[in-house]
Amino acid sequence: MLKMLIVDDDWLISDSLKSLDEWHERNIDVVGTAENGKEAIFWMEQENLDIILTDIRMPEMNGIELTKHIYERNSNIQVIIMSGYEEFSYAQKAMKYNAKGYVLKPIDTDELMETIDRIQKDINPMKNESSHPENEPTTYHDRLVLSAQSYILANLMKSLTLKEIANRLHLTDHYFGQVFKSVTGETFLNYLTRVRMEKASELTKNPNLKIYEIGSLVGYKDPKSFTKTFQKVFNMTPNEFRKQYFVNEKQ
Amino acid sequence: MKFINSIFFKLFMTFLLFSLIPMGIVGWFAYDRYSNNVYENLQNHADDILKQKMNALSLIINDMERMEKGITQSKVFSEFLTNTNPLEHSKLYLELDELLLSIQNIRPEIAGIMIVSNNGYFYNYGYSHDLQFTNEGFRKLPWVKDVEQNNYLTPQITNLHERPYSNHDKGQEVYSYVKKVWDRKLKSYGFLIIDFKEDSVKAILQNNSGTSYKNSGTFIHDNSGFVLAPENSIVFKDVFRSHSGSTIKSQYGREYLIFTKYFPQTGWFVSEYFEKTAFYGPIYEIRKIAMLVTIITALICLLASLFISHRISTPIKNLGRVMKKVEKGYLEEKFLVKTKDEIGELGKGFNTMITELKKLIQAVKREEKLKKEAEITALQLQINPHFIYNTLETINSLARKKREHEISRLIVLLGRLLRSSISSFEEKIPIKQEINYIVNYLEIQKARMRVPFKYSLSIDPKIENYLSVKWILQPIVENAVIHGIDPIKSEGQIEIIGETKGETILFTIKDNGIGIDSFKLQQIRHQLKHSSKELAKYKNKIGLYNVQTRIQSHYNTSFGISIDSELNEGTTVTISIPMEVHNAQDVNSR
Repeated sequence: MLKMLIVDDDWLISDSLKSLDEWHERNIDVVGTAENGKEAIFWMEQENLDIILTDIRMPEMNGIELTKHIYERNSNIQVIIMSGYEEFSYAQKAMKYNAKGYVLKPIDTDELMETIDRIQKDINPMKNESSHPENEPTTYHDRLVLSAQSYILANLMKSLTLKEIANRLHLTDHYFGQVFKSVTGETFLNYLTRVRMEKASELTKNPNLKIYEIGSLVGYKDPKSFTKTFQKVFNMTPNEFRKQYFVNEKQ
Repeated sequence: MKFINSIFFKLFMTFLLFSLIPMGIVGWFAYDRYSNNVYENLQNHADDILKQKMNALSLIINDMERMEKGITQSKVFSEFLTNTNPLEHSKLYLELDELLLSIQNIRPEIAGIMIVSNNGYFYNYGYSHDLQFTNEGFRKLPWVKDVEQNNYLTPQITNLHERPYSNHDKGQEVYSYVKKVWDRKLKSYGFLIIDFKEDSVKAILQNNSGTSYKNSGTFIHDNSGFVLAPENSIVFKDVFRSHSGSTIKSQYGREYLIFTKYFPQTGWFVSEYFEKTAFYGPIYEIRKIAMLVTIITALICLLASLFISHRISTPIKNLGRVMKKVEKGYLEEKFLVKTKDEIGELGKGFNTMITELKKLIQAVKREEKLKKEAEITALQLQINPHFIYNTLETINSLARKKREHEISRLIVLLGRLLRSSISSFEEKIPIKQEINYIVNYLEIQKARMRVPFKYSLSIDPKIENYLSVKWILQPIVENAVIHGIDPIKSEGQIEIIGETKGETILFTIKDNGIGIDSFKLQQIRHQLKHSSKELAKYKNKIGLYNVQTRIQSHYNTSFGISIDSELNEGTTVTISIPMEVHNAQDVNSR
């Protein structure tokens, strides 16, 4: 069983690719979809991926950067690039960072599968040598929560709701809330606030950002509400947090 | 180029005219003036000589008259004339001798004096009388008769005559001074004859004054002939007819100028003659020199014009040669500038012009290319191809979700077709790409047909990497599908063959469609041959004629389309293009 991640900023494309029957026939497990390179890296940290199918043009971190990241990490993950771009420079960079395939959009399923088959042949001998049992197998529920978390991390600046994410995962909001709590041990809302505040505390370390900018970057349109929540979690205002950080830095 | 138009000829004529005309005019004037001068000098000279000579002649005549007077005024002479007594004659003879001895001293060189009385007595001085010669004989002498009959008051000078009355030296020719004379009482008359030798006249007439003219001399004539004949063989007739200053010819063909003066005392004409060549000699010499100078000048002109025209025309010719080459498109040609004159400047200008021309051509080429690229870019900007690809992929995704494989396949084909039609800027593409394009096209068309057709491809792998003008097969295949197969409403068949034949690549597109009737076929063939360019350009015919035009403008008219068809059987189109190797330089050059 090979684990695959599909990365494309167009959700419809990645979702339709994920739903292809051909993956089952080839014994490939599509663990999830990501909207940009950063999200893909989150998935890489959570899951032991074998194949990444990625678009090039994406916000935050594009496909080439992702491929470069994987190449530099000396990872075994096989990258297939799919793109509407046929430019020589892209293909050249992809080759340089050891991408295993370059599929043009609109995607010919047969062509894609040919590439996958080729890669499978390369991977299988390696896989047999060191079939890794650690943190495996993730359950269906685990996957759902990972997908949700991946999405949340990629879209922190948006005002996310439980319902919205449940819809993406084709679940009812009630059921998704229960699954989330049983897997993570905390409620969806708690998780969302915690992740937002963790991110905010990271961002306060950047002196160039103003407090209200940090607030909007982590999904709070109202700076007062952001400061209030921040104070509740860290027992001090964002400004105090920042001052304390720089005093510690000096010492 | 005609010789008459050449620089050499023009220069030669100019030099010749500019040097010869003034020289000719000066020469002619000099010659004219000089010869006139010479002639005038000669005339004056002749005048002087003639005057001198006539003076000398007058002197003789005057002396004769004085002698005559001396004789006739004496008493003895009167007695001699009137005497009829023979005894008295002897006494008178002696007395006359005494008289004449003194008178003869006036002219000691005279040949002799004779007095003849009407009574028939002779008196001779200086020579002895021939006793046989009587009074009757005397009267018969022509010059005596002349004087007798005409009763001249003036003395007459005879022509040269012999002396029959002399006892010796009868043959010696002399002139005679003849006068009818009378006694004091004018009762009886007689003749006084003073003979003088030819030499004495000749001596006077001789040009002893140191004349510089050769072959010149003097002669005397009267109305009936020469009195003193010229030494040269001049004929009297010519002399008589000519007037002073004219030219006459001798019997030997020599030309003489003669100047004549009338001598009234004797009725003679005294003439001076000069050989023409003698005094015209220097003039002829001048003329000769002038001719020589003219010929030498003409030669110098010839050489000078040859040299100058060569100097001028050689660089011009070279320039012309270079220009011809440039005309034919060899823009690398340069004119070698050797001189710093106007031609050198011209050459430099020409070289600059060529360089500019080359730059211009390159600029135009570059501009055309940029324009074309700009057009394509503009097209691409209008409908951002990535937007289209992404949209197609979105549709593709929907089809995937709904498990609509046919739609997905068509979208993929359409994407590929679109991609290959806008992806390349090049005019020429590898044949492989061309084939891929028609395969995509045929696959899409197949899905569109009510009754799907079949097609077969047999492309020689050898030709796949050769270059072809872009999109020459698709329009023909499109014709085969739309105009050939679609109307028959049954399963169509299209066969596409790519092969080599010698150095040519042949594509055959064969369908089993409705075909073309022979009249229409003839029309198409004619238009393909003669008017495809106009049809493609102005009538927007993008099918056959456009392909034909593009092939023939990229290669040449020996390549292109041929068409064969039979109604209800199908149509076969054959396209021929040359084998053109992929040239890396063309692809990379921008």
